Amino acid sequence: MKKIVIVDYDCGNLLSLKRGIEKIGLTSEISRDQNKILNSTHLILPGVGAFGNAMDLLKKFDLENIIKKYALEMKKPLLGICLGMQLLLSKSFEFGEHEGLGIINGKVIKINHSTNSKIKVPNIGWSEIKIEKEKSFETFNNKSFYFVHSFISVTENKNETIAHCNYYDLKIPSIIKKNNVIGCQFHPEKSSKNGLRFLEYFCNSN
Amino acid sequence: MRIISRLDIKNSNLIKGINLEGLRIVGEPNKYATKYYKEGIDEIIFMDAVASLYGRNNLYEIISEASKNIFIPITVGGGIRSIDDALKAFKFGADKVAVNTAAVENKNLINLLSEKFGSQSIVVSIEAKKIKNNTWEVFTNNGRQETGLNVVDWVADCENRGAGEILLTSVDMEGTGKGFDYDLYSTVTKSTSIPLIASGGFGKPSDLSKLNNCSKIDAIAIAYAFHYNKCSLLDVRNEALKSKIKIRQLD
Repeated sequence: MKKIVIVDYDCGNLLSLKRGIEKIGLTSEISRDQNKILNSTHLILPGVGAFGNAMDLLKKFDLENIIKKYALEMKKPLLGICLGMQLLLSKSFEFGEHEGLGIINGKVIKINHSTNSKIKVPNIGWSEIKIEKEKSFETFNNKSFYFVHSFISVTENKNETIAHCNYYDLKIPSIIKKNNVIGCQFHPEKSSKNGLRFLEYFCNSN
Repeated sequence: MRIISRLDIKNSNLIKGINLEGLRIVGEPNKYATKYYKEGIDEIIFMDAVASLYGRNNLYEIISEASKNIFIPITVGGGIRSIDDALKAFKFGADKVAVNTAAVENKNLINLLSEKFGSQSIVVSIEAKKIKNNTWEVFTNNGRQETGLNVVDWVADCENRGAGEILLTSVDMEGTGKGFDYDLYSTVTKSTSIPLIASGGFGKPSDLSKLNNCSKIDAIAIAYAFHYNKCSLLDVRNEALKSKIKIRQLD
């Protein structure tokens, strides 16, 4: 049986995510219980706010190693959303330098807005994503999703960035994937029908 | 360009006034919110019109209901005075909170909120009244209370304090449907690098193109024109496409 767990570490609007999953006919649990997390079949790491603060919270609740164990040793499906995606990487340069979970090699850097005065930070709005790798994501090609972020996730291995969107002349990494671990910069729970479809896709993945 | 529907709430009703005064009941908020969501609106703003006057907020039930069926960003404003108020709004399903009166009274609130929840979830709502040519003053309490703050200075201050977005309402144009205060948005967007939402005055689709031509605006909030069926979201979207303004692609 499917056991979908949303990691609760006091970081963001978890209710919308839970309700989004309800909308696609599934149930989920919001929890920070280590056993529940390890026993889940699908784990979602949400997150808004600052990277350093979020890592501190994961450590405070003893979840850092639990999430790594779930993803790297047990190799079960993990979805990081927005800041949750950025946390998957090795390090971030948001207000200083912070170590991330390091599940996917790469770094989190600020959106470079020096090239075009129209580029605003945070980037807030809907963008169509372009799927470049992983045929199984093809169904989301050119679909619009809602983004709100000031930083971007740059994977060391370019093959692990499977989708991007254009923000003026910038390419914003939109989906990253390494084996059983997926990260999306956009908020599926805030991206109307396409977003719900994306959640459905993840929750039905093996 | 984001197209946002703004729903002003009093008690449990959707209301609309002119220049933020003379509030009339339009109907049941979630009926309208759901309709706009289904039509493809990009975001929804719920604004408690009387909370800052009486220091209370009836919005939570409405947001909680909305977040069961509406899967786009929801901003909640009106009567948000503290970290606890914001936490409560997020807990009930808000993605962003908008602060106005409390932020003017205690500017540090913006710093506190953005440090705690991240800039992306903090909107500063500003009510602007034109006081002379090219000068606007910040008002609070639905355009009743003058503050002595200059709008351009206050926007810059909000940005420095960590606001993620500015909802800038022209009190003079609000509820009139006579078009935006174009000078206001053209002036303010010159000096800020965070997203700015124009609110107040939208009456017909061509207002969007006119605003886009004279300013670097990121979003418009529409209330009057949608609630009173002066035009539909489709009309606004068609105008945007005609003027080559980039909007969300609907399926």
